[in-house]
Amino acid sequence: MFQRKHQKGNWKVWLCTGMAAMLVLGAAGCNSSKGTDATGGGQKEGKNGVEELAPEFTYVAEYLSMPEDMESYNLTIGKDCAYAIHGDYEDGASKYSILKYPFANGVFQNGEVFAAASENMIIQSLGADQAGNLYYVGQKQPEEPGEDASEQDWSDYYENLSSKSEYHLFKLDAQGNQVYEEDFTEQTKQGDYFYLQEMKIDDQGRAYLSVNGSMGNNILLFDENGKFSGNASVDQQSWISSICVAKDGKAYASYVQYNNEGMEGVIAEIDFDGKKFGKAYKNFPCASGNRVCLRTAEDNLICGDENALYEYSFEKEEAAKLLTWLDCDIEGNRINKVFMDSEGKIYAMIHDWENGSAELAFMKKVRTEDVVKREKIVIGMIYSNSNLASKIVAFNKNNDKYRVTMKTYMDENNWSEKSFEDAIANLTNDILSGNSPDILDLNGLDIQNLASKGVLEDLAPYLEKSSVLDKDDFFESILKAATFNGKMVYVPSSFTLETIAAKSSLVGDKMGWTMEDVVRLKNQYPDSELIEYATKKDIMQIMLMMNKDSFIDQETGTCHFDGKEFKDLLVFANAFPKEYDYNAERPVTPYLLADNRLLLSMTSIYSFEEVQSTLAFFGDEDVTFIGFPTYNGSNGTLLSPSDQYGMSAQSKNKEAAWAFLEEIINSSADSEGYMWGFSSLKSRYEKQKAEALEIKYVYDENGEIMKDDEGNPIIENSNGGWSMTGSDGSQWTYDYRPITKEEVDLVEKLLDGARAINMNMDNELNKIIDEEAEYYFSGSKSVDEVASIIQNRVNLYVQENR
Amino acid sequence: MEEEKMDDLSELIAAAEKAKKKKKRIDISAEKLRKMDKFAAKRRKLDNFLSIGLATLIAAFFAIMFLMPIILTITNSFMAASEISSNYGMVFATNANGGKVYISEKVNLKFIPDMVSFSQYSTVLFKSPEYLLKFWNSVVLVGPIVLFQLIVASLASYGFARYTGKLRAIVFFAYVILMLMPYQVTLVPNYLVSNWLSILDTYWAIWLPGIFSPFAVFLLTKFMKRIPSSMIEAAQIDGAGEWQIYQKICMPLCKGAICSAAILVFIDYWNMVEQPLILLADGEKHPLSVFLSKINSGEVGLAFAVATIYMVPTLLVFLYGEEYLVDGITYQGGVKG
Amino acid sequence: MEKKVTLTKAKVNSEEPVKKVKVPKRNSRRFRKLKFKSGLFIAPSFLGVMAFFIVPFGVIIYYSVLDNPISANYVGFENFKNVATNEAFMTAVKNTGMFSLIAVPLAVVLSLILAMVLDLNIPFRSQFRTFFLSPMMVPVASIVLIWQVLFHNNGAVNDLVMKFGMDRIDWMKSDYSIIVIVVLFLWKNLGYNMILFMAALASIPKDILEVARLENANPLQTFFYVKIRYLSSTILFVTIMSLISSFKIFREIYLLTTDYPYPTMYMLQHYMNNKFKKLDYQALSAGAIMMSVVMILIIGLLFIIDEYFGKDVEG
Repeated sequence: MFQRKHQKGNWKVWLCTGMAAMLVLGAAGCNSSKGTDATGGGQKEGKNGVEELAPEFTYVAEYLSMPEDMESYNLTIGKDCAYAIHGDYEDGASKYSILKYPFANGVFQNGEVFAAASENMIIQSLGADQAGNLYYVGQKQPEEPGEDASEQDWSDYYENLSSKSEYHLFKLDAQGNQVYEEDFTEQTKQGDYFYLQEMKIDDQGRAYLSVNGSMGNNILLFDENGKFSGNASVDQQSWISSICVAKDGKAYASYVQYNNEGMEGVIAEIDFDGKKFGKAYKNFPCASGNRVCLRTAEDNLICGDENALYEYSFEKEEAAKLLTWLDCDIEGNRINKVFMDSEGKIYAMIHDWENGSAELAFMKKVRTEDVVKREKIVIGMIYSNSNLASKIVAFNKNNDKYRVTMKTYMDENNWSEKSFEDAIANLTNDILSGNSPDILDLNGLDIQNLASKGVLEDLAPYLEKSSVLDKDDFFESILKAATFNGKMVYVPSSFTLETIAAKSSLVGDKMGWTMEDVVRLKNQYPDSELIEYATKKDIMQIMLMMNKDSFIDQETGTCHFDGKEFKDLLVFANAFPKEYDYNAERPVTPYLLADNRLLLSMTSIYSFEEVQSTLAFFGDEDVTFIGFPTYNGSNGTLLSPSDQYGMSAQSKNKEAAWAFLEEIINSSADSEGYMWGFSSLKSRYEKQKAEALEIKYVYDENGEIMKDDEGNPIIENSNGGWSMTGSDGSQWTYDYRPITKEEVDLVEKLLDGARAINMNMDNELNKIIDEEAEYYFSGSKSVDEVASIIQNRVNLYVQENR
Repeated sequence: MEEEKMDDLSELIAAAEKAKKKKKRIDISAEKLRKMDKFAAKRRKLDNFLSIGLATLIAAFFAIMFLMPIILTITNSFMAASEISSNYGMVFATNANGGKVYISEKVNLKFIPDMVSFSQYSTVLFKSPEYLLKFWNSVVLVGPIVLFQLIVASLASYGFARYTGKLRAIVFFAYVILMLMPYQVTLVPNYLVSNWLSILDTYWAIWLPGIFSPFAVFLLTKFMKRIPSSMIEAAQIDGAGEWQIYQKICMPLCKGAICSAAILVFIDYWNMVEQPLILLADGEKHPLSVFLSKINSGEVGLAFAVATIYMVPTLLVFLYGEEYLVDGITYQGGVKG
Repeated sequence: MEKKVTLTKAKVNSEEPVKKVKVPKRNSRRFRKLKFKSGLFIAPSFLGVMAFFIVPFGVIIYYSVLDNPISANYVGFENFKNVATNEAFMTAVKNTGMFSLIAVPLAVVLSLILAMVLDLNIPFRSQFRTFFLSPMMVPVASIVLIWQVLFHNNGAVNDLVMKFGMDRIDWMKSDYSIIVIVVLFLWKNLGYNMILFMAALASIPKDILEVARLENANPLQTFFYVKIRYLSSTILFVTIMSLISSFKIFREIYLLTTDYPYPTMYMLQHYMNNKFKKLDYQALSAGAIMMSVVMILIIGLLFIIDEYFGKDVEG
């Protein structure tokens, strides 16, 4: 036996060695490209929401003063200075100039005029190179209509203004003297219109203009003398987010590339001579929203978005996270500019939109151990939520004992099909192992399940004791919707209502109907559309949304999916189109509704104006907000709460977590600004109502109500209106008029009895039904077969979960 | 051979004597026996021929059945993406929400690609080095497990084989039961233990449970028990201590069994999916097996290519170790050599 | 030295009895030293198993008597009651049991037959052997791909079925689904089992077979009266290994059909996996414990049988 082994073995051994060698080569090859640690004291970019390792260094913001009237909104950073565009409009002519603010050691000095553009030359965009030269694109608009021009003339003037203007590229030297002026208007005619997204200059003085969107995904290339040299473009699907001047002084562009898995960010060198993009470096973070582009001494690139700042290494094709704005108590959304001085120190310019003020923050690199530690409160969420950022920053600033951080479970840089499931699995693990975040963003989670497993804390006692919020001030139905198994698991700050509206002549004036009613209505108008753009799947979803109870008996755990009702539903849904042809010619919705070519209008009510516009769609007809079909004809309005934040029962800082939750609810209730949806607090809701009902008159200098020609008071057209253009050219406009009391009452009527559906509760059910129904819709199985399979599988699901 | 036996008349007589319960009587005439035997031999030859022919056919049939999926995977990996989707696209199309949708067109099972194309391989190997990275992860993950599990297990099975008391038997029995536990049962406690030991999200969280798995112990113990005691006794007489007996006697004898156990363990862990998913949160560290289980529609062709590459180490291990494997299995089957 | 050669149903012993490891007399120093030293060998493995298997199992037991991993209230046997009466659980148990009952014997018998076929000195024997072992090394996920293609409603097998004039069978979503799984299981495991049997067959002492032939015993008689004796311990070993593999089939089913397959494919591990996903940890633990109890019984039984028969052959 052993002899035989040797005889046969030889060729096998060679084969094995050969393959082993190949493997080792492959492994070695990829090993070298696999980077490991972050550059100097940064943090490791974790996937799937892994919290960063405690780094040695961290960044802390130090605020510096700035000159009072600095035009800091749109600065272009040059060598040891910053430039701003200043425009004046005098005597019918535009006079633009460039201001220069020298910058040294974190201090901006007062600005002085660096150069001025000729009359009527609007300075669009600035670019600066390392030698101190300044470049700008000027737009010379055509002559404006004269004094006695009509409105139409003005309207014509503004239409497609960019295509009528001349565009010039200017270069100024360090003293402000013009070096060249080149007219490149011809190049701007390549697309429908011209919009300059960004301009950057490389170390050789060549200009790169990003005209993404308006003229395709293009970058216009100009040589050292300002002459146009060509385009560099990426394929249609990608989107160039920014141009960076990185190592070797060359220009690089970052863009998003789509592949089968999802999207990934890359950065590629712009090959000037070849007029194309060169090698794409992978794993470039935030390529979809990059606004920062700084060159480091080690030839790395510092880039970032409103969440974090990263350092990207071209060599390793890896990004290391430097800091998270939130952790530095800065609202990422407010950052206007991040720049670096010649010593490599990083600064951030932060704006306060409401005040119009700005502050300059120096990001100081400090040792982590020097920073005072605070007790952490973690908010866990599946999808990242930037709205929360401002609230967190505010809370952190005022609270010196606790510090709120966000933990996102979904890796949004590496999105793929299964990411959501993985995120849920990771969250589940954390909960089971006792590492649950203190606060959970329940968006996307199965709230019912979490509540029944005791994961979520009952917030009712906290609400009772609260000195900031008053339990009775909340709408009953809202609190009820947030209560599962007797526990109130979240407190929504606002809500919207989803419902269906139709002509009363078609559906009667009672609110609420059943599936049979829907079918009957459709059968009366076989050629009409039921709901706009609805496909088979959509119809199934809509019909089943509030109707599961008619098919599943929770008490006994039996299902009736193999009965006539469900089969009829399948047949009904099958009559709808599989996919929608969005390009087909169709008139605007109101016309369709008027002709009964469209029977129902699905609408989301998030403000009083929405009620009005929904009614307006139907013209003068009476409208019933009939809602989604339910199994017993009851009110089929969907209550959709806005923020759903729950507290973990395992949290060790419950009081502090509650304090933060209070903040969220309170601040959104108090904000004077625009709020999406209706406030859950009755007091605030009444305020909203009152505001809506208030008729705003226009007053003249004496405080008298101005009247128009017919003697009617002029009402300030506060909120605009609707304007729709159909693909067949039909148009429909509507301007909001003051809200009437009936409309306001309607909202309350809808709210009364509206049900909150836990969208994720029956995710599995929907998955099963969708998957199997597809067989029927595509024609490969009969209704009976599909119904019986659905019955079997759903039955299993229901039984398992009893 | 038959002639030799035939010549040993005494044996024959003994056999005949013992065959009391046999119905046929054996005619002791040597001549007759010879004739009978020749005739029997001829008949046997024909029988043999027929039966061998039939057997070969059966074996061939089964062999083809067994090989078909593998061949399919390999040949399909040479198909370009367009061909894949035209043949299988209908099976794996995905709808907008990401759910898998099975549409009704017919599927063609193609063995030979219309057009041999290496595009799938080039994508995998060159364009997206992440597959290779994950492959390397797999190797890094599985290698130590196989190596150390065998070491620990061989020690343990030696211990079990040398002395069997009641306590030992119970412990061994517990080993077997634990071996049969599905992973969901031990996964979260493993997670908790790993958390407590602070090894979560590192490879240790997978290495440690793997190294101490009772699987190899079970396989090896059966074999160790069959080492003839005479050898051990001889060694003891020569003054060898337990450790030396283990090292110098058992190890060499068990080579086959260890190899076959190693192969089995390797195959088992090469395919693991759930443990990395849960215990390694960092997607970068995931092994290739996890990726393979997440095939989405647009990548069916890629999946074939990746699967083929994935098979290579197992193939390697297999080809190299097959002899050992068979020998090892032979010993494991409880057969005396 | 005894040397018995009979063709009766009496016990058959081999040439040289294999003596068991000679255990020194009890209470002797050597004995205790042996006990201690062999214990040392076991120690590392045992510690590891303790930490990563036994302790977690203890945790499971702990969880199974709580209502909830979060609130940790003691509820005694309620979980067990709930799980045992849950219809889905019962379906799972039935399916898993049925599957094992069908698949394991099939695996053993078929592989034995195949081994005997290969034993007949056909050409290319060792190549065939390699081919048969090959399914073991293919990764699960690619098999699933192929299987999906084959058994899909519009797949290759249905193509064949339709050619014969019959209606399409929806393999995955009907009661035929168990066939799909059994075929998959057999495909994966026949090779390994067959090798085991081949080895066992090859080691039956030739002289016994000779005598059988001399006595003009036909192949069937040879098999049942002679070969089985020698194969018995291998048969048991193969059964145990196949049983182990039959539990592992979950992964394939999961990849083929997701969380909630057609009820005939719903196995115990589906139940446990889903409970795990829904944070229903106490049900998971209770189910696991019940499953372990059953397995302890079955395996214990098999061990005892093995001991009994094994003694037979080994003498």
